[in-house]
Parts: sequence; C-alpha cells; structure tokens
Amino acid sequence: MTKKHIIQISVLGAVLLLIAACAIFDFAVSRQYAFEVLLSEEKRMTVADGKSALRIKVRLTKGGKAVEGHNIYLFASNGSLPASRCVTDEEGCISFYYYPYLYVNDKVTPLEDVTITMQDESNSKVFMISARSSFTVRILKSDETQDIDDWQSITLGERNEEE
Amino acid sequence: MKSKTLIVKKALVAAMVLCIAALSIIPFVGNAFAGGKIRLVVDLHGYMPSTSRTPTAEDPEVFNSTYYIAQSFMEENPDVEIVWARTKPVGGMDSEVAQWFTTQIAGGTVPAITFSWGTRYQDRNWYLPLDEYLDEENSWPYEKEYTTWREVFRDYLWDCNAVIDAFGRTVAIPVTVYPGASTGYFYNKTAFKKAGIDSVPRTWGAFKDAAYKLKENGYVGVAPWLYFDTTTTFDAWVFQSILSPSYAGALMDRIDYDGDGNMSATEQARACLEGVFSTKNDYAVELFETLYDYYKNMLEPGWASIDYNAQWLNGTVGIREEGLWALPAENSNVVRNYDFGVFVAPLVSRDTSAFVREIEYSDGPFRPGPDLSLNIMRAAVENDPEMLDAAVRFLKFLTKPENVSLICVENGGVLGAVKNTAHSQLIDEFIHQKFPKLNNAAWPAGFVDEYGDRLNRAFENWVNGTISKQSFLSQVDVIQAAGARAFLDNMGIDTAGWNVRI
Repeated sequence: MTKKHIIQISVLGAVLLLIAACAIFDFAVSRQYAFEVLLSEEKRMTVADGKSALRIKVRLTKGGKAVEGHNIYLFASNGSLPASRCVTDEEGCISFYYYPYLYVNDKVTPLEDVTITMQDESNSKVFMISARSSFTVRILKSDETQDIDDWQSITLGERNEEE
Repeated sequence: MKSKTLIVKKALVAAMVLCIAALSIIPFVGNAFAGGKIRLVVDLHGYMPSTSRTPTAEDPEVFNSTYYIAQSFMEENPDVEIVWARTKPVGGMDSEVAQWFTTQIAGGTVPAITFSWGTRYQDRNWYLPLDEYLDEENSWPYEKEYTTWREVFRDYLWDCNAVIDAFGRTVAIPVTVYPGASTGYFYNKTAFKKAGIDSVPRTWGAFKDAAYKLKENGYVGVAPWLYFDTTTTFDAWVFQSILSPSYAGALMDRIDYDGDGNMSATEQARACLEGVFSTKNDYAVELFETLYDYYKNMLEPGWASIDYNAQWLNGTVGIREEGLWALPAENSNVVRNYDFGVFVAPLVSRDTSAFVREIEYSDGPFRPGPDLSLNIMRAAVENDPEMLDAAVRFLKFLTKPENVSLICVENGGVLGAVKNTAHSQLIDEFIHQKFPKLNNAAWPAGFVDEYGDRLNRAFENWVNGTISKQSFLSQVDVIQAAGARAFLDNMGIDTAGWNVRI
C-alpha cells in the first residue's frame, strides 16, 4: 500500500466518521424532545361514523421545557386530519382535530384502532432525524343505526340572499 | 448410435419449438380469463387505490376504500378478478388521456370500466349505453327500498350532460359529485379587512370591485389557477363556471327546443347553428368583452409567468382561484400566517348586466355535477357477455350507498351521487352555505377538441393584441359553427328542419 493510498483511505475514513458523528449528534438531539398527549387515555376514543370529531392537544418539550415555533407533521393510519401540519405555540402546544373513518361492515372496513404519528420537522440540525412519537385512538362501532347526514337535506333557515 | 442421437436431438428441438409456439399463443386464447376467472380491468382515475395500504411519513397519502370495496366484491363474486388499470396518465390533459384511450382500444387492452369525464368522447362511439341495465325490473339486488338500479341515484343526475349523451342515452354511471362546486376562490381575510371588503363577493360585479380594491391596497387582486397559461385562456374556469352559466342560463327558453327544462348537447349545437350564440348578439359580445377584461385588466400583466404560490404564502395575494381539492393542503399550510376563507364562483348578475337572470340561491349544493362517473367501454365488452355482466355487477356493487359513503368520507372533498350517503366533515362547513341555482345551459366552447383549441388560440391572440376585437368576434362564429357541424357529423345527427343561419 502506497503512501498515497493510505492518505486517501484516511481522508475517506475521516469523512465517514464525520458523517457518522453528525448522524449520532442529530439522533441524540432528537432524543431530547418529547411529545406529551394532553388527552387522557380514557378519552382517546371515538366512533367510526365518519364525523365524530376528536380534538387532540399535544405538547412538545425539550429537556422538560416547552418548545415554541416547531413544525409538527401529523398523519393517521386511517381517518382524516384536516391539518397535517401545525406549529407549536408559546406553550409548546398544538391542537388538531381527528375525524374517524366510516365503518360499513367487517368485510369492507374492519374495525381497527387508529395510530396517529407526530413528527417534529424542526428539531434536526443536520440529517433530518426527526423526533417522533405516536399514540392510539380507540375506534368504536356506533351502538345505534347511523343517521346519515345526506347533503340534499341541508336547510339553512331564513337568510338574507345578500349575505 | 449416431442416428439415435440425431433423432433425440431433432425431437428435442421440435419439442422446444412446439413449447415456444404454445407459450406465444396462450395470451391470445381467452386472455380475459385468469385461472378460470373473468379478468375485469377497472380504471377509477383519481379514485384508484394506492399501492400501499398503510401511510408512512415518507408516503402518507393512501387511498384504501376502493381497494376494500373491490376485495369485498371479489369475495361475493369469486368468478371475477378485478385488475387495476395503472398506466393511464391520470393528471394528464384532455388530449393526452384521449390518446391513451385510443391506444388502449387499438391494442385491445382498454379497461372495461373507465373514467373519461362522463360523455367527453361520446362522438367517438366508445361508450356502451346503460339504460337497459339501469331500468331492468328488479335490477337492484341490494336494499329492498329500490327496485331498479336507476332509483338508487339522485334524480337530477339523469338530466346531466355529463351522464347522458346527445341521443339521450345514459353512458356514464355517476358515483360522486362535486361539493356544490369543483373550484372556488380562496381569499386572504387580512387583505379583505385592510381593503375594506366586508363580505365575500356573491356577484361578478362585486368580485371585480373586490379585486380592484385589493389592487389599490397593494395586493394582487386575483391570482389565476397555477396550471392555466395563455393557451387556455378561453376555456378556463372563469368561462366555464361563471360566464358560461350566467349568459347561457338566460337563453334557456331559446335553447331548450324540446321544452324538457334541460339543454342537451344536440340542442346546444342546434342553437349555435341557428345563431343563438352568434356574436351578432349584444349579449354574446358582452360575454367575450367581460372575459377579455378579466385577462387584460383584472389580472396582473404577465400573469402566466408569475409564481402566485410564493405570493400567496407571503400574504400578498388577495384572491386565489383554486380547486376545492386543495383545501386539505391549505389547512396544513404552516407557512401562511393569516386566515383564509373560500367562496363559490360568483355569477354575473343584474347589477352589471341586463342580459342575465337574477341569481336565485339554494340551501346547500344545487344539483352539483359528477366528479367520478364511470363508463363501460364498448370495445372491452362487445361479443363478451360475461365481461359485460361482470362490469355491470361491479358497478352496482360500487354504487351501494354505504360504499359510496366510504369513498366520500375517505376522499374528503366530494358528495355521493346515490341517495343517503355520508360525506367528510372536511367539507361540511363549505356545503352549509347558499349556492346559486343553475340550469344546465352552457355556452359552447368549440364542441370538439380541434375547434376548442382554435377558440383558445383566437382568444389568446385578441388578448395579446395580435388580432382586433372585430377580427376575433368574426372568427368565433365560424369556429363555433364548424365545431358544431363536426360534432353533429360524428354523432350522425340529422339537422333537417333546423333554421340554420351560420
């Protein structure tokens, strides 16, 4: 092995080490963040009727202190989230609604709990290693026959046409 | 020994040749059948199930309802295998999709069930008429309250030109409809307040006033939809959703030759040839002048090359033309630091024109047109009664109210075309407002692709100053009439007895 090869390998090794160090640093930073779901587990449930909204509040902290101004990306394993991104306020909190899916029958829509995942898009310094957490929303079947809110039966009452 | 070896070698070669021949023939022998099942190829366009079932951070967008509906159908109908047609350019423009269909039909691979904007290609004789399946006695095999398949759907849809062709035949099965409108205007509430605009515009006149007030206060008055450019100025949303229904709606008594309260494609063509839409009429000139004014004065100079998305994000756009499908993305927009709202496209009213009707309003959406409607393609089912039967069975299953509800709730931005269907809460607030009551009259836009393109080019040339207003107006009648004739010829419609003036 020539001196030139040794230098090349050393440089490559140094670069790889630097990349690894940055990744480890980013990972360590992400572990400092924590998500706290401010909705008790007993209340983390809704009915699979396509419309029963569940309001969820989550706090993001770093080392126990509230984190303001971070973009939180949300996605659910089923159902809808009207907003898939929120920004934490001065208390480190975001607030969002979850709308469940519509249960039809066991074949077409098996009744399954939903996982909501939150990902902090702002904590990473180098490699986009995001702080992430998830929680479960229990999904229940409606006890009664679902009342369909058909759109052709909308009535708005007396309103001025000029409004 | 040598001759034995030679015989064996020759036998092996012959066997190989026979195998190759057999393998190459097999695809052409009953190729619709896989393992004894009917291979039903289905295209649901933007409602195709995603390839992944579970959302991830990298790939959060999944669409599952149509997958589970298909799985459930196949369980109940074990003789059918549904295969999704995934080569279609779903986001493609009209001409691209038409080319795809042409190629598929020529190659014998067109899906049996497909989306093609309802009756868009009716002049190419691609669609199978479906009335006999809709009206057959006891044709609805599910809930007992309906006896025929047709009864499952909302009645007004059978008058819709996106469902029935020029001969009055049903060629498309509606599954979902727009939530009152497919497009609207997103507006900056802070900008409205600063410009002193107290309420959302309900008429074109009010819309124009709002746009100018915003301009005076340093905002972009109106930003057109991102994907429009100068080659699509005529047949864009302002014409389709505002001017066309406003001016054509007032001509219904002259267009509705059979007096059924609806304008058919044939009636539109007849009215064109009889001069109802001619630019010799003041109302026609006013329509084009209004559209010209929109592009020339209301929009910013050089609008087609401006990135309005960036300006919307930084709060300098007052009103933005957009599809309602963009609502979920806008709700998640964390860069925008002001509140926004959405209003329905405002029609031209008597405050600015003597040629239109006074606008009446309904509670909630008024007869919204189909978003997803499906055709059975002739080429896929002719001489194949089993394929046809499978296609009809699947369409019936798909249009069960609970299945349409499932699709609507997951899609988030549409309503059900069948009765008693649920919708997503994401659009609940939007549909709880007044919507203008429209008849289905529409101003022609060239009738067929070739003449639609010519109209767009002529209008573009007028707007950019290449031709004069008079030159444009004189070209319009010629183009519209040629388009009407091309359409009528393609459809084989007899014009005897018409009072043709153009």
